[in-house]
Amino acid sequence: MSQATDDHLIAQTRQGDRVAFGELIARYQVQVYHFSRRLLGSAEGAQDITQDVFIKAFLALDTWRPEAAFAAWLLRIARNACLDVLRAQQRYPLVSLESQVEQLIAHSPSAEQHAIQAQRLEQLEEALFSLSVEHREILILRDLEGFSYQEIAELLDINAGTVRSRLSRGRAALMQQINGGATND
Amino acid sequence: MIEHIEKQWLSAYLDKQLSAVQQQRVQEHLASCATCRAYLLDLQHLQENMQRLKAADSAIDIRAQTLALLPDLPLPERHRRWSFLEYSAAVASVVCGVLIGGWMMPTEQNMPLDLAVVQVLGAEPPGFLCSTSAYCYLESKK
Repeated sequence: MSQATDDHLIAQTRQGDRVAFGELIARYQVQVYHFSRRLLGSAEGAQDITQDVFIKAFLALDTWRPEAAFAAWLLRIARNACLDVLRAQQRYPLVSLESQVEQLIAHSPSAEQHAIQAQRLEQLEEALFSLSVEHREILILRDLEGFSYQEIAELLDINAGTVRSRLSRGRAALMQQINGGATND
Repeated sequence: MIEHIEKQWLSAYLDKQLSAVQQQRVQEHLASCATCRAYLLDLQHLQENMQRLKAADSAIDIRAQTLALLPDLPLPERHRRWSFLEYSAAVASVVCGVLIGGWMMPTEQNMPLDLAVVQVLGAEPPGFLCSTSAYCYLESKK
């Protein structure tokens, strides 16, 4: 993969260089795909959305400003696309976790640990799907994608204080889904 | 009865989002409260498992199929600045227009070229519609 910065690749794309845009796709496609998959609850739909995200980004590249991280900008487009689909479908199907489980088995130290780890992660992903979209998206952005509170605030158009409280409620709801949750309010 | 730290504080403590004073307060409370320590530990385990989930994300490759769709789409619109050559051509066009217009204007003998140029920009009709500028007004009054 190229060592060029996002800014440089974007500038090249603006001048009509599609290979540069291909580099940007290669750089962010996995992140956009799994973000969409988790938000949408569908692996198949997520792949379509990922493709749409990059096409929309290509068409709107002139509106991107270097102040915003390119990844955050892409996830914002992905989020809007997922919310449109969810609003239209009004359903939240679960996705198969077989591929993730297989990968975990390939990397874990012992067979017993594989099984435990795989089951735990499968439960976690299912629990994540069972949350409201509001909680799900903030947990994905913070704990999976690693965005800062400020970046999440900008991405979701909310203030940093709301990020903090919503994240806390989301984590509590997720723990409750997994094991009944500890409550000590 | 122990008054527990708010979950929101513990969640923010985990993310290192508290001020130094708030952090100190949470640490002091944690030292004496097993319930909050257990909750914080649960939060930590949750975060670790979320990271494992992320690490297990499978790769996909949609680059080729996405790029294949792009040639049918218009390039992002850009407001390209004129080059020096284009600016020069535009200025030359205006100057030529003024000179040609001035040459076509009927001019009294010995009229300097400057005046002829000004006449092109005046309110009178250009060319040979009137034999002299004064006749334009006389002819319209007939």
